[in-house]
Amino acid sequence: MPAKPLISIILPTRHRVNSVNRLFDSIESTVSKIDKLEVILYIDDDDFKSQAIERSVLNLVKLIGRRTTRIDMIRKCFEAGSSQYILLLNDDAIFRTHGWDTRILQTFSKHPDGVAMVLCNDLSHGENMPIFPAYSRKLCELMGGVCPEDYHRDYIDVHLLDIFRKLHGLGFNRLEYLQDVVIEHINHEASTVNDTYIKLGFADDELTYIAWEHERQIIASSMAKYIQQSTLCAS
Amino acid sequence: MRFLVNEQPGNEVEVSIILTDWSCRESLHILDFLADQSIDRCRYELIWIEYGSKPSEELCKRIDAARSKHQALPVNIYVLMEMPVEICYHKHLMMNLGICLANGGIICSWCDSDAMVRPTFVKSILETFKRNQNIVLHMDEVRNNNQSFYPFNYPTFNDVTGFGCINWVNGMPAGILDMKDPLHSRNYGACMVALREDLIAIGGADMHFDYLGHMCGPHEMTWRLVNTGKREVWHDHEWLYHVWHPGQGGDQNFAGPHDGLHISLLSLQCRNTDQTMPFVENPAIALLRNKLASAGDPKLLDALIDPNWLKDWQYKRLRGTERHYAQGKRKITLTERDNSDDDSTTNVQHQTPSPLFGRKFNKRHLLVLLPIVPGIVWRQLKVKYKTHTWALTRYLHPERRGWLREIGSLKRFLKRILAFDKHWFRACWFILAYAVQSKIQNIIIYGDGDAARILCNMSKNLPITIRGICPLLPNVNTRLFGHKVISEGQLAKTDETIIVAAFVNIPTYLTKLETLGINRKQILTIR
Repeated sequence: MPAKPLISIILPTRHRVNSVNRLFDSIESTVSKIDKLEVILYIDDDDFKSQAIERSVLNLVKLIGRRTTRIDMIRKCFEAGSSQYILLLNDDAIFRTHGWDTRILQTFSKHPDGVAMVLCNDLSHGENMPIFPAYSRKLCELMGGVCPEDYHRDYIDVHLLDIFRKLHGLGFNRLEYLQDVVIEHINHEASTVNDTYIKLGFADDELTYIAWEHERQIIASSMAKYIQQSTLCAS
Repeated sequence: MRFLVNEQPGNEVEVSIILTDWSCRESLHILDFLADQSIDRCRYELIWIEYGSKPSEELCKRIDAARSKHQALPVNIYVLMEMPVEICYHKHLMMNLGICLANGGIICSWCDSDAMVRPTFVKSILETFKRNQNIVLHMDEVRNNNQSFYPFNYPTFNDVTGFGCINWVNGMPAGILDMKDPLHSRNYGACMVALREDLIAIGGADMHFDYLGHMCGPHEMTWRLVNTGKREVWHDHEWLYHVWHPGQGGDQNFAGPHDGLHISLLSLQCRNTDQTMPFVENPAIALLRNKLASAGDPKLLDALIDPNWLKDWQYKRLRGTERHYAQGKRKITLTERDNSDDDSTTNVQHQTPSPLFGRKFNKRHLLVLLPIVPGIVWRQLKVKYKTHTWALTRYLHPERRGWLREIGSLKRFLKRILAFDKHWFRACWFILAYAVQSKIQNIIIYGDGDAARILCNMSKNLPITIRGICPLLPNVNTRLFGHKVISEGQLAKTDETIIVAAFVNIPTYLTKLETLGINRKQILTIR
């Protein structure tokens, strides 16, 4: 019976087979426990080249569906996964540090209540923006989902960051930044814009983010309450 | 008349959905939604009727793609009526053709061809008619005027009911809840469903000249069906969703006489009398009604168009005056037919539509709201500024951040956020107005954010009393926004109506209230 994965990499992709293969190569060459890892790909039903992606070494789950918003793809991948922790990734990432998975799991083990977000160094934003955030399923439960479905593609990272900054304001610093663990972000803005970025474009994510301001405070407050209760139970 | 697709129907077809076009449809997204239904595709057929002679490029592409992949075609019948370009469109003619071609017993005789429908759309039709056949069914339409959905970019249903939506109250279209003027607040033209035999029995859609152009619709058949004893039913949980596109609302179209609020006078005449038959019956429908022809008979197509209509409906013969109407912030222009010697028509008197739920937001209401607006905008500006300091562009494109650019960006943001706030103020007003219409005197607010603040201020000039506020954040005070703070325990015991004071994350709060044992019927939501 195969071991249950501990980390699910959530990866929506479109028309970028080379980038995905480059990413998979980097995962295979840097991960320490490949059997504890699953990669969940969301591929559009009209993207036949990406649908043909195969890896014998990786535990690969492919979800093929209609082109939709980024958050909807993430949500579907999250539901399809079974691991304790998730790592939101883009296909323009490259793992640069050996044993990154062990480091992430070690960091999570410092917070047995599961309320933590681990950020690796993406070589562009660092700890200022959770470009590739890792967090637990327990946290998703407390937040009411992996991320609000009101968002389309932008502001997901800012939303998560703001919750953890608010939680910090309530006395719990659960944002863990691993500077020496590098997941390089080959940002698309540095290269040419391709079909992937001609998306179901919306300018409303900023307004959604503002509308969620009070809700983020409520979420942070409920997370703080949960941490306090967990600490009490443990003691 | 030319058929580009004419599939042999199977015996399983129960519902025929008629979709009409007069070379005006920019996006055929409805076909995607209709292809993705929860019931078997063989149980419903799609009939696409084009008034002119030019096939839709997009539809032809879809048909070719489906053929090359050996998949089900997007439509079962695609017919070009080949009417000359100089002839004004008459939607009722297309509808009557649909009735002639339909193979299903239930006809969705009028379905907005640029709307979005949920996967349960056809199933809901079948289930409603299974329960009762003595009805004529309508589905209301949720409308969103946010231009960011144009060209159509497949927004989610959640998007359509969000920012920019003009008629979404308490989880349904406002027209369904409005008792003051449902005739105008409901969208009779969105979707109408009736039995084929019933439509034939009343002579099909009326071919009267007054219905030429924009001022027409299936409601004239609805009201004649009601006169025969059928019950007009509005579906209580299935709707169509429509997003903004240029030319909506009949802009720049020709229109016959109407009541000033875009309902044909002739149809109102049918509603106010016992009339069951049309003023002008389509000859093809007459053949069907008199059992002189049956479905599929070529005689029907030959009889469908009276040659005289081709002369009378020519644009050059239509005399009209341009009139402008406000539609939200925008104006539409209709070329309205001048008063003729025909005594059934009168010149249009412009009317102001009744406010939803009979409550107009006036200056007095605005005055009590004004003190809280700067605070709300200031808080939003602070969120924006905080995010701005984290923003991506700061790191990637520092050269883009000049002070002039910053001022421009601030101006644009203020414009966006004020429109956004206005939208939510409207939503708060509608829910309070609905509560007043429902004769609710006491309410409890569940929430403590800006929505709660707005509701508290708005209620000051309404015959409604806020009995307490149950905050979402831990609160040590006994009063909030001037009202008593109550706990969730107290909330669980109340019989009063509860308004969820939140613009987002509403399903979470509904679930929470349900776990407290509160009946859903006791809860109102802003969205």
